[in-house]
Amino acid sequence: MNTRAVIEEILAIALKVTLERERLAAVFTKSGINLDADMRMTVIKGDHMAALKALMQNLSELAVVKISAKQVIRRAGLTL
Amino acid sequence: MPVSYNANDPVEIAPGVFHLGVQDQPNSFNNIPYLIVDGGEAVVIDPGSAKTEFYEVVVCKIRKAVDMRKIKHIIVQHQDPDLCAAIPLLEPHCAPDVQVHAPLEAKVLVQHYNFKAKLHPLDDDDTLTFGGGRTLRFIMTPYCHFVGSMVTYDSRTKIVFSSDAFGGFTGAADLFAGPDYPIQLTSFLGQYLGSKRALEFALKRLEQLAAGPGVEMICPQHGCIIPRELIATYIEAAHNLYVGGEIDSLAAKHGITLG
Repeated sequence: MNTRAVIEEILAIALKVTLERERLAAVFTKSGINLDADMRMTVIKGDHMAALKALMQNLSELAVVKISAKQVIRRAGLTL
Repeated sequence: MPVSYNANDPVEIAPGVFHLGVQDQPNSFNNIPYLIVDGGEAVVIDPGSAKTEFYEVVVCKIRKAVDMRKIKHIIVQHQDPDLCAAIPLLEPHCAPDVQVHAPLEAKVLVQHYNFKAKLHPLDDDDTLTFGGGRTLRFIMTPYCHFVGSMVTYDSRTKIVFSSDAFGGFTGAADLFAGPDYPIQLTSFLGQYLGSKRALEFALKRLEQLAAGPGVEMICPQHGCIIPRELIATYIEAAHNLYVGGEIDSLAAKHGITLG
């Protein structure tokens, strides 16, 4: 699974485990990942792996999303 | 029956069984105590948090369902604060001889919530009969997720009160598992359970119950109720879970090889 696909899966699961869409969008934006109004990923600024690492750092603000994301990363065989 | 719950009203999900859920939208970690009323007595299962905004909702809902002085028993299915911390707050409103029941291995920890009621240790297959002869059976599920973890079976309604087992991450106040619940459940259990062996044991005990006396509903302390027609699906999803993975992630990060 490539890094963009990992980020997309994290977003897809995030939308199922939290109703805090504004906070979620803010965390993605802060990590250099832009979402559109329908919470679909549009642009990843710069290196995708750097964006994923930033996302994992910033997701501490939304604990259950980070907990879910950790499992996506494990399934993808990534070590951050 | 409504499809969602609110902050004011208990929901009677089966005869004499009330869902006292508190929505926790910011954290997606809803807190769901249950109340069972039978023959003039009441039991509270996993009474919940001491945090004011949680506790006040639970008390408001209990009062709408029963006179709190009828509460003779408080059952906690493991020692975590999100289900035990309300005990000392609830206790003064209950029957003067209210008793607290906890798994044996959790008892030594539960005492530290600093309540006055007698604390009874429970072991596998112990039972509690109350009210008009209603029997609750306690089924130990060790290491799932603590050595002193258990689930409670109400033989009258065939409900399994599963505590963290079959819980899920959701900020919505849905009573019953919906299309997103498989992901919500696996995201929660996949991280909070450490041992596949412990999970398999708990699932097989549940399958024994389902094949024997029967299970009509699984009522977790977080997330949503799983009705009978979906139980097999969720048991299968739980069998397929990869648990304890946080150890593998950190071992890989720190260059540790585990056997």
